[in-house]
Amino acid sequence: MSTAVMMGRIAEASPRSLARITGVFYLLTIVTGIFAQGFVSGRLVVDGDAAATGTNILAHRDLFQLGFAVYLIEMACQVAMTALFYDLLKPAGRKVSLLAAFLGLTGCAIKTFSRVFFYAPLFVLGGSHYLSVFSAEQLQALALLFLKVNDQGAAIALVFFGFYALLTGYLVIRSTFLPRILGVLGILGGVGWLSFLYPPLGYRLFPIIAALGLLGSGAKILWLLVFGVNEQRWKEQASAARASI
Amino acid sequence: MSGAEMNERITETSPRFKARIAGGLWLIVIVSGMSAFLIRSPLIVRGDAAATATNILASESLFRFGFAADLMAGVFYLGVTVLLYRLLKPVSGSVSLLAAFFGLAGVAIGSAISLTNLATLVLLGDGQYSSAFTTSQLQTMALMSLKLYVQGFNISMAFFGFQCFLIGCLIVRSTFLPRILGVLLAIGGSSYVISSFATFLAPAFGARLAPFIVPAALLGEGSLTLWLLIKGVNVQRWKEQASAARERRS
Repeated sequence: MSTAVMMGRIAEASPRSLARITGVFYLLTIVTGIFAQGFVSGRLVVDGDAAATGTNILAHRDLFQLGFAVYLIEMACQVAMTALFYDLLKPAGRKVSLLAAFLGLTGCAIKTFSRVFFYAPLFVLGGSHYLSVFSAEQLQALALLFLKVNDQGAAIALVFFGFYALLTGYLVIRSTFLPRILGVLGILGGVGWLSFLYPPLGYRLFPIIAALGLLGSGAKILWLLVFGVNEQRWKEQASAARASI
Repeated sequence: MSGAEMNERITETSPRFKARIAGGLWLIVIVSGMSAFLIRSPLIVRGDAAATATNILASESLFRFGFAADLMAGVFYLGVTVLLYRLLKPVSGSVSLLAAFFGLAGVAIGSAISLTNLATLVLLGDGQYSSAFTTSQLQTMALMSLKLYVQGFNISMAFFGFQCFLIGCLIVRSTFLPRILGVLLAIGGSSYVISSFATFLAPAFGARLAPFIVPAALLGEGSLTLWLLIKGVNVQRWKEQASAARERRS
């Protein structure tokens, strides 16, 4: 779909096409996130081994740079998804939807910001002349330190995304135009992300949390892409909401 | 005009006044952003930590002024973002909100990363803890901080690029602003995105691209800024499009 066509469809904003476009951005967020995390970061970064990590990054410099670019595309898609979801859920509760959107946006800003430190290893491992005042081990240790800062920043963002999932889950349950079970799954996923309030717990439970989160997101994405929303009920709830203001 | 009076005028006034304020704020953003860039660039010597450190320490207040100008540009850009969101809402509420979200995220990222400029000053200052490192190590870390800043700046530029592209598309579809302004802004926005991603994926190529980006971006942003400031928007057409949007929604 060309950008112009997409713009036109968003501008006309029939609730169903709004839902589908939201689903597309949501799907892109998940797919790009899994690629950058699983296929780039996961393959090149060796936990606790600064030397191996440094060697890997330098040997696969292009892949590492690609991973960074894909991380940014992930965040751009998530910002888009957050803005469009706000519009979609507005009829179910305008204030809660706005609050959720701002939590989501804050999480996106924090996560994108922390990605600076994902790229930073390339600055210290680059072998520029001025770096020679540090030993190779020191530079590799610095590179791993930067990667850890990046991880911690992303963990902070997860807490914001957890609250975002709780609120949007609540809105989906209150809505008349999306199935309630999607809201329940979303809330379960959100509770999982909140374990990152104490990061060691979050990391320990990560496989379970990630599976829960993926289940909630996956179900929502599938529904949005295939069914969109119940258009008539969406319009009814929207006009009821307007009348009650 | 007092602050309270100005607030009052913004909340209820005509779209034309809103457009003029947006144009005025955008002009401040361009001027302060450019001056921050022009102040900082000559101080930094690529690949030479010692020379960079000497330059910054010799013009510390200038360096701090650049930092402040950067932050001010971010603050005023928040105003531009909110006002343009309101102005372009009649064209499409969803797309206008999406553009505003990219703007907000861009300002948050850009402002957070300016922290590294202060880190540079802390590393080059004469705190006691710094005796644990040699002078050249501290200078190297200071240059690294500056590199982190440039990286974060490029990320925020990519987000501003998305925002400008979307605003450009909205202007093209609007009835109350000339289409050519939208086309120019969309080109400027795309060039930000292209330049940022080129820098991430192929830094050498990105550096070669940079000289073409500034004119494209300035043309897009500059022409819209001047138009908003001088002509504002066509108020009657704006109201027509706004009421058409309201009808479409209900």
